Amino acid sequence: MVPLKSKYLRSLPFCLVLSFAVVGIANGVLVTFFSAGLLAGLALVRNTVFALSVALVLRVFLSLIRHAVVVAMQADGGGFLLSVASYLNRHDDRVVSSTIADIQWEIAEAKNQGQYRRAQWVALTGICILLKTAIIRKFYSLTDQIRKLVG
Amino acid sequence: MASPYETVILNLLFREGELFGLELIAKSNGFLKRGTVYVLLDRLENEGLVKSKLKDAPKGSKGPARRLYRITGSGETALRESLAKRSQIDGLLGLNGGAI
Repeated sequence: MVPLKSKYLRSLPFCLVLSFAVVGIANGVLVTFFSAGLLAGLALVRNTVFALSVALVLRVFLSLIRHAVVVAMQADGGGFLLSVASYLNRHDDRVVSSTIADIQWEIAEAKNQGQYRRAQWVALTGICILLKTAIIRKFYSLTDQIRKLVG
Repeated sequence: MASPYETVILNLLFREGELFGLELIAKSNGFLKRGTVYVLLDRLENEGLVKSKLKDAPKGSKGPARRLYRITGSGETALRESLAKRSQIDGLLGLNGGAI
């Protein structure tokens, strides 16, 4: 049996290189190092083939998100954001609608000024905020249900 | 007493009049964040301290109407109370003015 420490040390450089090759560079330093850590962990607890599969899925997923954002920017960023928000939050309340309206306005402003990079960044930030809102709401709803169950 | 974030929002609305969420973020010099400002504004509106109205997007641009916020009379009272309490606390601690 390979000692845990040496197995980890052996898998780390491999995963780092793998991560740079498969996930990183195009997606920024933070994502790269995060994915390197994730892949090293997966290689440690499972095996390198499993880590490689996860890396590929992650790569495809990130590409899809980037592609979706680029398409949305070229067409109508607002419509894309609205569909994401309504899917995540399932309803349109004051917080969500205000967030979306302001983000769309900022996207339109950036596009008018020819700052497509900034527009993409704002759209991504918007999606993250809406995602966070949805997660927090789900968490509160779950804790509320647990509180009711416990009495 | 209003929280520091709520006090900043009330203070900005008191000084500037009507503002959008994004304008509040910009004028707070990074103190307010996108992820929290709308939740705080919603809470303040539920408490009757701010009031909002929808403003349609300019002609030719797509997207839903934006929400324009302004402080109410109760909001001004809450702001005055909050600032007074904060300066009282600052005085007790020997601090000379805060970020708010």
